[in-house]
Amino acid sequence: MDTLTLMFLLIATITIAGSLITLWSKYVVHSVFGLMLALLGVAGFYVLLGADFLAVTQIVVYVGGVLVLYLFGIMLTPPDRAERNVKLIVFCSLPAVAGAMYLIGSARAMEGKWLPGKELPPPPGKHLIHQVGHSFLDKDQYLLAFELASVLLLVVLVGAVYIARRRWEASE
Amino acid sequence: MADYFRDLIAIGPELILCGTLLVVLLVDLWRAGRDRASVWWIALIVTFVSCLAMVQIGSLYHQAEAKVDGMALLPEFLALASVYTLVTVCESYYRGRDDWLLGTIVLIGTALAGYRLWDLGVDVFSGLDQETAYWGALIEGDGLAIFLRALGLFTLFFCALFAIFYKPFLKGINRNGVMEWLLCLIGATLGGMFLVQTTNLLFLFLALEMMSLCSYLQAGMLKGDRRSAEAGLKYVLYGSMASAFMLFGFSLLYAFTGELNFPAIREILIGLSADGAIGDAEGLLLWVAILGSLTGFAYKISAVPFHFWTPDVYEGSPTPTTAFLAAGSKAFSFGILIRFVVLLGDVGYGARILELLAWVAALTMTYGNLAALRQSNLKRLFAYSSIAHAGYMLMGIVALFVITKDTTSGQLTAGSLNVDGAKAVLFYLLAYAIMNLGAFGVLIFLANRTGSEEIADIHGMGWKAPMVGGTMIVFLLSLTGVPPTAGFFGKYYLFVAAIQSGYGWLVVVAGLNTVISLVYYFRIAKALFLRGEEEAFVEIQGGKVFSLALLFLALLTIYFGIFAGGATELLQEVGTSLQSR
Repeated sequence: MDTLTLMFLLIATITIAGSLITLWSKYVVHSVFGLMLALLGVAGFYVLLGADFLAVTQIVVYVGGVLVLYLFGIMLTPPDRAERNVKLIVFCSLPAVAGAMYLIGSARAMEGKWLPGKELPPPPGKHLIHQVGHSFLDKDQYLLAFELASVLLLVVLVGAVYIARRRWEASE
Repeated sequence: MADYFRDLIAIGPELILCGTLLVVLLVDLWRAGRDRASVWWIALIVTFVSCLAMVQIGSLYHQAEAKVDGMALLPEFLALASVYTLVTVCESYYRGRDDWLLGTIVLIGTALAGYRLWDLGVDVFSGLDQETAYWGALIEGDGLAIFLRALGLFTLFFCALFAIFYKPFLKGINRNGVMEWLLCLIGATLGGMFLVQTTNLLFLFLALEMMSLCSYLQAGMLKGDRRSAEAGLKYVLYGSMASAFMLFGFSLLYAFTGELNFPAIREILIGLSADGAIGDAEGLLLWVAILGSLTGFAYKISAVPFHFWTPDVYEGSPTPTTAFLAAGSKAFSFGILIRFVVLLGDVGYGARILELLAWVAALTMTYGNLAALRQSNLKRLFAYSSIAHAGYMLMGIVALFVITKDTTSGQLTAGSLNVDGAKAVLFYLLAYAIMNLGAFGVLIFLANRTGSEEIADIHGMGWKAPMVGGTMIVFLLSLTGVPPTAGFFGKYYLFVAAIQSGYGWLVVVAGLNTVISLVYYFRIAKALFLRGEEEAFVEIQGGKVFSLALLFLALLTIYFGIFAGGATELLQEVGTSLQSR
């Protein structure tokens, strides 16, 4: 076993353990930290695959943003006294099992058949983030998408603020 | 630099909508501030002068062949500036009684965007602009895109107009939400307009999400109305699920071909099947990929296994939003569906998917019509009717390819493209948008009076507002498909296309469904004119413009029911241009 395989196994263990903690832990806060483990594990996979930008984004967006949001959400909502419903958790795990089986089956069926039309792209060079930046701001690549995303964020932000805002008093 | 402007011009209408959106936002922000009359006057004068100057320069340069010149962008700037001027004028004069101000800004912005689109359309349809890929082939400004963008602007215009007269937006707590609602409406239309142009999976997802997110927000925007909150929540939960499936499908497509652009994907797939490289395993993968991708579109058009959100969302949303969902959102989604099926229908396992879609179409129309029979709420009834109409239109999508079955091996293969299918769907979308906008307009008109959307509460209303009642009859006839209305020709073209492609059984199903639909549409007409006698009808404030708009829509319905030729010729051209792919 070479180092890469060992790394992979380690990260995979962390990810799966994190997911299981998320599902099965008795306390919601523990679930959140389990989720953090799982998300960090996924970032680890990205690093292994040479996608450093994706890994950083994963950490910044999910670990830094989404998880903190979850924590705030949990802290700001009154605690639920009821025990977590074990039956429901098991029931919810069933689709996950089915999905995993499907994934394994299709992975075996598809072995080596991805991208039959072309060779895998070469691993990105040193300056991956440079490339990403250029493709965002290059007219012949993704500039339009980048700009549209900004309009989208503006509109959705305004709308979300309105929805989340308390009711206006009738007198303004 | 020159081709930069070429690309900018290609999205001129969208730029104008973006500008309108910002203007609405800014006006609302400024309005919330203190009185700054002097600032307004200075701004007014400055913009007016620069506007005049730009009109002058703009017309000069537009006459010269200035397609690659930076000055050719002037119409866009002009449009923005005039919107701004108008806002300034209105704000200065009508501070305090401005219920219609923001809506009017949107109307003007839409009209200007439409004017830019007209120019683009003339270029495309006269064959001037042969190269129609813009922004690094993220979008394609071909005939299909032009037509559906125009339809989208048409819908936006009428939805904004309805919003001006929609009672919950005029009184009570929701008065303050009009700005946000309008922003989301424009945002959704913008997303949709990009959606119908795109040929790139990534951009497609972005545009579709833009349309969806803005629609979710609109649906949940009525404060203090539980049904609206429920609608918003249901829409967003089901919608994100459908998006997830679609994204999964896209990722498989990308994994399989390594390309994001439709034409490139198509080329690779054709090459692979020519090499015999698509065996059972690869075929299965492709099947899952296309099926997953179609889930997202099927959700948007509310085809049957993905229709559960429709009644609740239609009922709970503000009625102008419902009109947008029925006319705009659906047209955009059908547009991208046409593009998708045209590009991938005859490669890989496309034929199997099309066969599946035929069953989906039959189920969708039957379910929609049968469920509509039992509804007592008008908006719910129209929700089910919109499911049924999605079924009819899917018939045209299915008819895009002639499927032949190899009798010995049972292999399905898709033949050549039948452009009449595309023509029929597009014409139906046009007819459907007109008659549905009209019908929802009448609903708003009646609900303003009665405060409810139950069939039982509109008894006898037809006699009290004869003109509006009369237009409703026209819309209902058109929805049923009775000549001489646009709906009749819509159905006629769909049936013809389906028969051409060998889907006789589907046409029989659709014919039976039309008869069923007659029952519940007639129920509305009966309630309007054959029931109840109450006190005299008092027209609501500003009802004149509103009823004129409805009358216009009714006349348009009849117009396309008699002179369908012009529109169909144009659409034939659109269909033919799809053949080049």
